[in-house]
Amino acid sequence: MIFRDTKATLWTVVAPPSVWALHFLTVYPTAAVICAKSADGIGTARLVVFVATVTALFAILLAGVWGWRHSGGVVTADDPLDDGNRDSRQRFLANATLLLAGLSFVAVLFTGLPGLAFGTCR
Amino acid sequence: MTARQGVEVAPGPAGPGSAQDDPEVRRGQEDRLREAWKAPPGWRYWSAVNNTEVGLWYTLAAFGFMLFAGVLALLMRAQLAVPENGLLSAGLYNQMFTLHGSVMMFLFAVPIFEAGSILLLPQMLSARDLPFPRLSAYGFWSFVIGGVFVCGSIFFGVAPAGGWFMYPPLTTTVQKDQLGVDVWLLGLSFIEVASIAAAVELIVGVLKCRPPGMRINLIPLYAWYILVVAVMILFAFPPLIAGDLLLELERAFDWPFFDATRGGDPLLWQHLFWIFGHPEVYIVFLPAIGLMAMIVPTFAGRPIVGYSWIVLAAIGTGFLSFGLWVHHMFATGLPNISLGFFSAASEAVALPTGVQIFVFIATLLAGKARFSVPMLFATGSLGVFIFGGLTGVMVALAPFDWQAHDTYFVVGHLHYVLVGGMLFPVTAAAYYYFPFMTGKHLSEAWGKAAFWLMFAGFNLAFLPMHFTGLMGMPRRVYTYPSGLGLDGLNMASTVGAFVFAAGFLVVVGDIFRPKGRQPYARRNPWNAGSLEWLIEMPGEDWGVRSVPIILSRYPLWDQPGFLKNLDEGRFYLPDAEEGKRETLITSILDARPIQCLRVPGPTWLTFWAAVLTGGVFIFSTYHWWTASIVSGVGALATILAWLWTGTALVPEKPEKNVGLDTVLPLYGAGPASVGWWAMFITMTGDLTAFLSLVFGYFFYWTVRADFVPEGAGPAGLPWFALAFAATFAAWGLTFLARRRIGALGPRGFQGTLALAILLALAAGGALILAPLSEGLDPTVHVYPASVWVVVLWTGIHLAVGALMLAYCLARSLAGRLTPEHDIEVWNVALYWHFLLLSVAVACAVLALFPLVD
Repeated sequence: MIFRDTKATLWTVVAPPSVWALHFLTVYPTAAVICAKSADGIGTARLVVFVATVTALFAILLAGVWGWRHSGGVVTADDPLDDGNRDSRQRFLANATLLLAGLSFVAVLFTGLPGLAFGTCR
Repeated sequence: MTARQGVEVAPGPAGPGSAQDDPEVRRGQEDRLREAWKAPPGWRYWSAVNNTEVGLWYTLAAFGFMLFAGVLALLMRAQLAVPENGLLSAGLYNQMFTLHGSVMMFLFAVPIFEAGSILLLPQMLSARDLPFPRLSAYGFWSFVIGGVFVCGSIFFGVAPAGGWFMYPPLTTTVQKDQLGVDVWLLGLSFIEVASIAAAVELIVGVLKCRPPGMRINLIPLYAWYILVVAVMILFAFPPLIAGDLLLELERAFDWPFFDATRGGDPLLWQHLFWIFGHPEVYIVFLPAIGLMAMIVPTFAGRPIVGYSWIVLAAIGTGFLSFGLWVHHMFATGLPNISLGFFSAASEAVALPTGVQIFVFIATLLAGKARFSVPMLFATGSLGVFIFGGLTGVMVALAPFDWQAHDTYFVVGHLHYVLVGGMLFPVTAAAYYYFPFMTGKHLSEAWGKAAFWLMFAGFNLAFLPMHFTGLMGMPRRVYTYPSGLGLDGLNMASTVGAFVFAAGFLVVVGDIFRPKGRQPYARRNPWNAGSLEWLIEMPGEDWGVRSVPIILSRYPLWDQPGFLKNLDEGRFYLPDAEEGKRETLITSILDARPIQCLRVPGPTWLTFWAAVLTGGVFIFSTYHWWTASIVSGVGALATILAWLWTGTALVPEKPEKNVGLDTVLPLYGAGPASVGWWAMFITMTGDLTAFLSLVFGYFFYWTVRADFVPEGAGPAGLPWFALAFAATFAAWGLTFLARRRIGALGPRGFQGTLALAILLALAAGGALILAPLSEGLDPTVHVYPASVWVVVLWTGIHLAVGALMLAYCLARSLAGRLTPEHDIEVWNVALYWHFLLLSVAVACAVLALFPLVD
């Protein structure tokens, strides 16, 4: 299974924030174009924001679960992933992926909120 | 594949019984190393390219510009000390605040990080030098020339006066005939190019030049920050370069990008400027925090608590900082929902920023903190920065920002962020790393005095600005009437500014006071654990006696016998048998040795290349087009000479023993070579600039219903189709030449390249004919101007692509490019991948979009 076998690399580390970036690059231009092109299109814009947000949150959640499994669960202060071997390096990258998934999750949630809050383009 | 993965890291240093036991052998090695790495003597010293020299010059130059901009600030504060003051005229005041902001950002805050990294990073990674020392030297000379040009303009009364962000329409109407705007656009564009050069150098440095065994989970935190920041530069600076291009095209050739009467829109400039400008703040802030992440563990006497969390914070901030730019544009009338997205992201970025601060506090609590001058500045910085961060959260809320926008509140906020987040950490680092640079300590007593003067003066100067701002005092005014309750607060700010400056003067005095009789510091004077402190006092030009095997984040604390083994040359590369400058290239994740890289030595070519490149920009400012073109041709010739004589050198043997029974190749092409990575990184930045231009096209389409005129499209279609077909064919031939260089034979290889050159030129020609066939005049309306700018950008890239192919052809004819030694064609083929993508996007947008719209 790809999910289990994928190795941690720098690309997996930046995957969750990349999802945030994609989400941002979807919702902002969509809302901007819709608001510029039609005066009462806010309903469509809100739908796009909602769908994009749910999709992005799911993808980040997936990355987080992956990071959790590959880093072996909770990493404590006694287990700082600083050994000079391949296993420690793998777990460090997975742990970084997990932490970034947490941040990206919150950031996507924040970015999605205006979609709930605004009833007009103005 | 084996070459890319590298060889195993040796189990440990050479033990007793090896040749390194013999002091006589070691002395011979040291002599050879010293000879290979020594700086050129006499006036030829200025032709040096080694990181120790270039890094030092770069640092000093950036500090010099900072002092200059500081003097401007003091003059402004003197003007504002009392109401209705006549010390400075309004015009001169405008030039001063513009230059103050521009110089502090472009000539101090960003370059000091590049300078510091060129100086520190190789030592933190035990690399003898970064992979492209001549590129660093070129970047440095470009920086100095561009910086002196921009700063010097104020002595002739022609400094830029449009604010550090140069908003049109002010800069395209009222200031249309003022030279200062061109000085800013061209002088600083030149420096932005130097920043991108530094970014390339630093990314490859962190990823590929680490010591064997320093896996990605062991690299110094500063290196993480530098990696993140260098990548940010690649995506942040190109939009500004694209914006500069558009603004200069409007000023010099009347292409109406920002002229609303001809379909343009000044807001595009604000977007492009702030897509750069906001990440810029973090580009400035993150390296300074990286310095703190090196200083804090040393004085806490223990490893950092939460290494992964710092990595999270660095990468997270790097990403989120690109979603904030519109918070500088809250007052421009964008839809509220758009403001909401940016406000949300602006709040979210406070999370990773806070994480870093808690990591530092936790590390200090968990260890036994020793207080010294660097720690004083570090803790002072935390306090000031947190205050600035909190006012930042306030202005990130759009309704609050509407009240505070363009007032002194913002001036107060941004100085708290930048001084707390950058100047104080850099001063801490100056005290911390001074023994590293010179072998001697700065004075503890002077440092303490400097800190308290700076800390008190800073708060006295900038805290009142929050109040003057909330009382309604606007930014950028050269004076104010009395009786509004602003008099006392402004006087306090002025007094504070001078106290602050006095404190900084103490730092400068401490740095430059003669230290002839002061003894050298002992080795590792702060008992640090990180690699840069293995340096001897004073340091040797070779940097490290041998390139160590790393098994820990803090090898000086954790690895027994580390310094002894290192000094006795018991690790890698203890010798320079051939008298060449050599360093190790390792793999990205696990730092397995891949290659022994020969780095070039001193040359004047980089200096002249920078002078001539500078000529292009400086002459263009005055519209001296002939001189500009001559200078450009000279720059091109010099750069070609530099490439021809100094890059892709064929070694005298395929591989060498680098010690510890490890044999490594001396040559690598494609992804195994550092040059390929440099090309990949450069082209990523280049593609970002191109996409910024395409963004401009769609921006106009969004805001203007009449952007694409009726009937646009069909006439140009065949020419665009031809341009794409020819580009595709040229790309295919280039790819074929790279893939089948052996099978084609020299004649076949050269014939393939020649055909590709012709096709590239044909593609460029067809691309120019496309808008011509539609009769598009770029001065009439923003639509033809937008088409032309994309066509010109792509056309110039096709010409460069043809030139690169011609270079490969010449190298092949000279017998320097062969199937065994084919770095050049790998790199050129990579360029063509990016070029194909650009041309495809350009043709699709320009030819097809008008048809579907």
